[in-house]
Amino acid sequence: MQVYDELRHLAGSFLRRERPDHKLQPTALVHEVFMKLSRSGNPDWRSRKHFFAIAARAMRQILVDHARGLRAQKRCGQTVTLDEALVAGAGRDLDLLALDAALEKLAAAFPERGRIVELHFFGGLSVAECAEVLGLGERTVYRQLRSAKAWLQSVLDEPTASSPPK
Amino acid sequence: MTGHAITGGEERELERALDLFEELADLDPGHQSERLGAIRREAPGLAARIEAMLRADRAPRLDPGLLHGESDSDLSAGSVIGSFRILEELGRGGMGIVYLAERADADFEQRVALKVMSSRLRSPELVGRFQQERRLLARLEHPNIARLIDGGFTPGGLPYYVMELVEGERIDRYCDRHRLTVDQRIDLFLKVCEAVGHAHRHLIVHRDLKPSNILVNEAGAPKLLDFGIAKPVDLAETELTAAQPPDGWGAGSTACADLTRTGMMRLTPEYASPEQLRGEASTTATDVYSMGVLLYELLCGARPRRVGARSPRELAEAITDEAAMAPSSAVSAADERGAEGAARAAERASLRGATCSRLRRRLRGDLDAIVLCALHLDPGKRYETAQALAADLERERAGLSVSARPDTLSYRTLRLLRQHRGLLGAVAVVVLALSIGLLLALRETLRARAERDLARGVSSLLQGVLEAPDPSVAGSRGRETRLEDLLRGASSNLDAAMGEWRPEVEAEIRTTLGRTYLNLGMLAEGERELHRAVALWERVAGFERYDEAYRAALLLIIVPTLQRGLTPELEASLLALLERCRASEACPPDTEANLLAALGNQYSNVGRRDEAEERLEQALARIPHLPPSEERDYLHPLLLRELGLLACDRGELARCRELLEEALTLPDVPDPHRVTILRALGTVDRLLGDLASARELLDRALQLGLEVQGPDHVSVGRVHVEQAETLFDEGEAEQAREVLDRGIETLRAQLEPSHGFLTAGLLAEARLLIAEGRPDRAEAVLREVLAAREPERARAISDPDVARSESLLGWALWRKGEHEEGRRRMEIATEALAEILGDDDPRVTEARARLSSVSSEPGGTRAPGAR
Repeated sequence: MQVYDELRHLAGSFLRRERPDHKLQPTALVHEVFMKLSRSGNPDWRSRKHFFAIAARAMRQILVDHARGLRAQKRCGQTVTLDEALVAGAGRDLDLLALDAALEKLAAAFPERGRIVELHFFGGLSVAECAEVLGLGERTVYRQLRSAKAWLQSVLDEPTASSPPK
Repeated sequence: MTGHAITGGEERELERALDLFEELADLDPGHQSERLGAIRREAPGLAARIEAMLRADRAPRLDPGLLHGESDSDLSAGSVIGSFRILEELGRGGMGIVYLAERADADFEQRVALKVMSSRLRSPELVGRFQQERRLLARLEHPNIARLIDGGFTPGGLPYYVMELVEGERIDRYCDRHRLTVDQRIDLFLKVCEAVGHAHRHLIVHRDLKPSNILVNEAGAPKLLDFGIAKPVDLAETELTAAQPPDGWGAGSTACADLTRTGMMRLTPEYASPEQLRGEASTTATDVYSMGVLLYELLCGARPRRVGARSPRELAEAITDEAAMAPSSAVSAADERGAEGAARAAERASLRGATCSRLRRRLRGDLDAIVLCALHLDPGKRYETAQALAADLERERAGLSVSARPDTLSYRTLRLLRQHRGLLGAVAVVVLALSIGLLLALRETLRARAERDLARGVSSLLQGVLEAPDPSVAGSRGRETRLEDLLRGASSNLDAAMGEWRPEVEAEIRTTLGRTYLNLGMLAEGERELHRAVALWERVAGFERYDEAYRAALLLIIVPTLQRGLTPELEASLLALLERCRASEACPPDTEANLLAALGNQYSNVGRRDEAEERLEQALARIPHLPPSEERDYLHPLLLRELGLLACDRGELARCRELLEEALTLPDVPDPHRVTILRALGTVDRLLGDLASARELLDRALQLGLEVQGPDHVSVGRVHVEQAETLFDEGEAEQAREVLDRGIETLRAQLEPSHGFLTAGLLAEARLLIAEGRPDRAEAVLREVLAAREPERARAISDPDVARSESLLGWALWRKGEHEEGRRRMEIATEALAEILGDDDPRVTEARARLSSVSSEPGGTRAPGAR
């Protein structure tokens, strides 16, 4: 899976802190990979829709894998937070693993919402882009994304979710 | 993403929560709590969930690239600020949040960036700063600075301003994504300089220049954003008191925060100047420092100093202690040794359209000096303004001497060469660098001796060499052709002009040309020039004065002979030179090491392995005494390679691999060496049976060889031979034939019959011919090899090449039907091969397999598998 490899390669260099800015921005990454693949003339990637669906999924996989790896490294009360590498700006930790689990539940019941969140959150697509990629109206996407995000965040805000089982 | 099944009950609850949320979200607070109360009475859990969702919705944190942060400077899409409607959030910076907005009160469509100051920073000082920023921006009208459109206060009382929407990508990402070369990056950076220079002329210092504040649009134009902490220079003094940094980076942020609070002032530690970190006044030189960091990063992909999680005070101290590493040295930094580090360094170089060594060479010298000057710890020693920095970059571009660099001879030499970069192409410049350096050195020596006419002569010849052909007229085959034509043109110009100059001048120039020819693999031409040079030197009365130059010519003349094989005359002249060098008190260690290496190389080529090893080890022992130089970069890997190949000839393949790998890890291995080393590693891996690795190594060798040496170079020919052997081992005889023909053609055209490269080619040829069912041809080829190696055969079979030739010859004879003679030869040869290489060597195994296939079918007429 070429997109996955490309993204993992690129994301890897961010997550290992090789990029000078130390920040991983899914949007930029996905865009970068898209440019690269469409330049290479691979006909599979002519379809933007297909590309972004896969790219967002790949990005999610990469970040979650990385978060698992980080959790495995956590020791002596030392906090290794993904958001150090992930987030442009200081703030609270994002528990990516909890998010992933919650998103999985959401997607099991509401696949469309799952896809929207994945595209928006991990693929970095705006509402308009999500709508284009999924062939939905912008209002529909906006409404679904808003409720999905609110639900996901309410799950993440639960005390149990913020300290996941070791 | 696995195993989070959802039960039917959960699914129903989720569905109700989502539906109810969507129903309630846009109700006004009164109706909302009314509905919530109703729900709570029936399903308290559900109500709690919806409440939590509504809370989450009011402070959304799940945004891509920005997952945190809540404040009342958050504006929701659709809200109207002044005459603008918020569309979505674009990002957050130190001073506030930036939104995409559109004009709400006009017929025309105008999208803008609307920046709202963060409420967490609300304070009279910062509000003042914000307004000041608006005044400043109003004064800045420049195509590369984001334009201020409007400003005011939000209904919540937070200041905002509206700026031209810049659609673009951070400058560093833009450069990487487009794989801009160093020169293209400098072009772009110069545009940034222009914009910063414009601000400097208005006495405005940006104070927070960094890649995320410089966006590049698709047309390639940079725009400067965020004069958020900019201020007029004349206010600098009054700021001092407000800018004392606290001990930590403050603001409760985690260690890696990009933006950092120091007192009232926000800065980005990676780009902050030492005086900013110390809380001192900012001047235009402060921006120059940040631009130095940016330029550093754009050029080599690293940052000059590691910031880590240190406090500003620690950082300020550290910066005073740590001199920044030159960008060229940072291309592959110290902690990036090893395969992975090397791969990362190579990736960074390739983002700049170069290899590591090429990138290093491009940066070394002027660009290093310019960047380090911008990064000077003392603001007084930096470029004063962005214009001054730009001016020096322009001078570098034009090939003029730069102010950052002391005026030294070697510097001017390189400068001169770079001026002709466009004409000559990269390869030519590298090649000519050495040669012309010599000419210039001579001219300087002559000037110093007040030999004006001579010096002038050299100058004009030099000019002649460099200006000879017109690249637009000369050849169409690319830079090799152009360079060839250039040299040939120069040769004939010289031939015509000679006699006008003193012999020592002519000799020097011929040496130069000879060296250049040699580097291009044009051995005959090179040798011609060098022989004439040496003859000229020896005609000069008192030529010992020019001893150094004479020795250089002699050393060079050895090169073509070296590449063809050792003759008694060559051996004698090498030994004589070595003796002369050692006898003189000031025998330069590099000359000695060179001679030893040349001798060792030659001995090894003709199979005198013990002598070879002795000389090579002696040469290797001199390496630590050599100053860091191109000479050393050249010799060190060469010696390791030669010793490796010797180990290979003794059957110590693992040792060989080790030495070759070591050679590859040296910094600054010249590309031609790299070609040979990669090729030799390919050979070893092929012998060890790892054909996939062999193929990959050989592909790399070929690619690099074609790039730096051209298709007709003997090294490239040798790579072809090895590729053919690998293809043959993989069972691709047809492809092997094609590649081999190409390789052998190159080698035959340029090498003496006894040269090891050619022997390797012909052995491959014989193997292939037998497989193709042409043992007659194979026999002829092998007899040719053995004839060329006659002197060695006389000393019994001690050379693995000779032994393999004999073994293959026996095989060819056997295949021709001369079973008796064939088997006899194979037996002798196999035994000899085992003697030389040891029992376990794959080459011995191969010979044994051939022999046993013959023995198992005594006198049989059916040919066993060809191997």
